[in-house]
Amino acid sequence: MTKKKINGAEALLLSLLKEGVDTMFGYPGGTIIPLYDQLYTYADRFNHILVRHEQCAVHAAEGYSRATGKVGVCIATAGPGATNTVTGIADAYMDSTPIVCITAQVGVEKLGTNFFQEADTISITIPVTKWSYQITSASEIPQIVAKAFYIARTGRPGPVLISLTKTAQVEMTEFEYGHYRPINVLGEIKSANISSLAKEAAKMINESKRPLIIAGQGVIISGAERQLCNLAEMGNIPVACTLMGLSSIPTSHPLFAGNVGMHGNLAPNMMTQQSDLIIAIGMRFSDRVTGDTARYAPNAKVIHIDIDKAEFNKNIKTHLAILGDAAEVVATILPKIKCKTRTKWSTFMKEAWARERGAVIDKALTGSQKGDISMAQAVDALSKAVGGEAIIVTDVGQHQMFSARYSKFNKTRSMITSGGLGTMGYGLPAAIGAKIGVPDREVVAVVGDGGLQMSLQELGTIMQSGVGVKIVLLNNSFLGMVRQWQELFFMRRYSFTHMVNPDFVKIAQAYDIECERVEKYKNLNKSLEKMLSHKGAYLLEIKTIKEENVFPMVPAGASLDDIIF
Amino acid sequence: MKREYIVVAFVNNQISVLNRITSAYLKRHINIESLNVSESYIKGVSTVVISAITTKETIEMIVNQLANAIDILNVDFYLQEDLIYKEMALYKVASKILDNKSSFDHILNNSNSRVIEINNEFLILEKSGSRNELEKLKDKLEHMNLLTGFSRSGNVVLHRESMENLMQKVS
Ligand SMILES: Cc1ncc(C[n+]2csc(CCOP(=O)(O)OP(=O)(O)O)c2C)c(N)n1
Repeated sequence: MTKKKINGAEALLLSLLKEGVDTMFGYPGGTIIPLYDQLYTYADRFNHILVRHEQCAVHAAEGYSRATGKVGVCIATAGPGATNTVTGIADAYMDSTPIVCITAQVGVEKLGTNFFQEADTISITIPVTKWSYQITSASEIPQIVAKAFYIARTGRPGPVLISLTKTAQVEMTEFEYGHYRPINVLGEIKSANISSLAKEAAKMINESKRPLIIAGQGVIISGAERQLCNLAEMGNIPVACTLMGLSSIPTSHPLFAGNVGMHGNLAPNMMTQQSDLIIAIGMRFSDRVTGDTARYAPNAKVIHIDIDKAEFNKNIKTHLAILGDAAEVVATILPKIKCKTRTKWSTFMKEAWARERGAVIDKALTGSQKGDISMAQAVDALSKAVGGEAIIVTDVGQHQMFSARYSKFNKTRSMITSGGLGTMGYGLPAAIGAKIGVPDREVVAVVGDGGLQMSLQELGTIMQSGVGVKIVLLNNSFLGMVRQWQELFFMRRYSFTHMVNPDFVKIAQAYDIECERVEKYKNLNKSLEKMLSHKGAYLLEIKTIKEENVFPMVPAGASLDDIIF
Repeated sequence: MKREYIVVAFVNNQISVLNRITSAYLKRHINIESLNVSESYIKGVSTVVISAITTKETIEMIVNQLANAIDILNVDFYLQEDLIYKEMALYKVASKILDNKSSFDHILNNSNSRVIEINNEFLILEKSGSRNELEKLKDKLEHMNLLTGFSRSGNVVLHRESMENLMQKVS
């Protein structure tokens, strides 16, 4: 008896179901109608969120993935739909976010003819995808989808693009699914030597007088939060986080040293320079973390634990590189760790914190004399209002750095931000994706007036799909971060960074989204409470001090020794 | 220090793999001097040989990036002396070279080249060897004002390493 034949579009949906997909973010178009036609039938099995721009479909899939740990899925049509996804895919590539992006392509026989809405999506996305494949026949669909999901989530995760030709969507095929099993050791790390390297690492750690753990997003991706915490506690080792690693350890933990890098805390940046041993877990020594690499951590040996061999010795010389999954590697090191008091070292940390408080934090949290609100105050008040329990999703700019500096996190996967690419417009759609992924958690998008307007149209998505995301707009009427650089390094020549903005409250009203504007510090807490007690989506516009700077700061290319306040 | 590095990759014989490889060079603004793709001794696996002039740090980054690519099974970089490698060249030479028989024989013997086609106007010489050797003959013919055409292949290489070792890496 022959099996029932179905078309490729249906085979694709069945394959997604087999991979456990129940949510996707997309936008239809002519070339992808056959897929959407099947989606009409399968509407009860998928929660398809109709976005307002394909870039935001990708960001939403990223936010969904970062909040849940699952692979995010997004769909777009051929040509402009596909090219609109590129920024999102590049963002996911830089931040190792597992997504599968399915874009349509013209029929096989029309490839290369500049057919209506033909764009060479595969070529365009090669540098920013972990893998990509163009499906030209329906029979390939199950095996390619299986491989795509495997690749997206395995090893160092990343974006995978499937270019789905119209031919493959409409062709009839028998459906048979098997999960992907790699023929060669793809992403599966040979962990044979972990135990001997772990022994060496433990020895270095036990001998160290001033050790510092720097936790990156790899800890979160690996699910190594518990192991990280155990390592810190067993060895009495302070833990700093990178921007991407924030929330991998609760900010209230006594061993949490703060966040490192350009706008990081004084303590962990100074500790980096004093340390005799950096234990880097799932981080890549990005330039935003290290500053001038020649003068980075001059006294330290470096243990680098990562799943991507390409990161070893790339930016910083590694003394001991351990290739593997962070959870497994740290768990192997753990039993050999001895507890040390290291009183001087913890005093150093406390003193640096006291210094930062005195020089920066207290001032920033005082705000202005006229009772205007500083971004630091806004983020601090928000963080207190949610009790460190919310997922904070940021856009890119000053508000992002203030969010990193002044937010408190109790749980992992609570800070979602565009780190590697620094993509303005990321915040709102990523928050939508996160809220849909974890509806029971409070999700707050903290955005600037510039970035919000790069994906403002997604208020429509919030309205249509009833996404209960809270939006805190920190409005300084400037492209604040660029203005800060102009002030500090370009003699206050504010070239095109001032923004004449619309009435955001009216805009929210047009989308039927509850909203309020707050301009004075004395009303801030009340407004935040009102926002949080509201059930659905909410926009709180906070007018902030116009020319506030994020400090401390390590100027681009400078050493961590040259922090400015 | 910049010098010539030869990257040898074993890759799935598939669409877009070559683009992925060259994009790793393009990304770092590095010109590819020569490139050769051909079927390897394993079915479905091609050997890609790329030579480019760059620094050791850069070529390491390129190779690390390529090693992560899904359809690249094995990749490493070499200096010329690490490999047995040859290029092939064809030289189109004006037939008046035959006017002086002894000088012609001398060129043939000295350069280890052979005639593969001959007619009234020109003859075609074929020679394999290192780039240097190929260039030497080219310069000589040019100098004698006889060269009317020239074409050179990319590198064809074999590792000095044993077949078994390499097979293990690939499979
Ligand atoms: C797509 C994109 N374009 C430009 C930039 C450069 N950029 C980085 S921060 C910034 C200013 C952001 O302004 P705003 O959203 O108002 O946030 P603020 O810094 O004021 O908090 C700009 C323009 C970017 N990161 N991304």
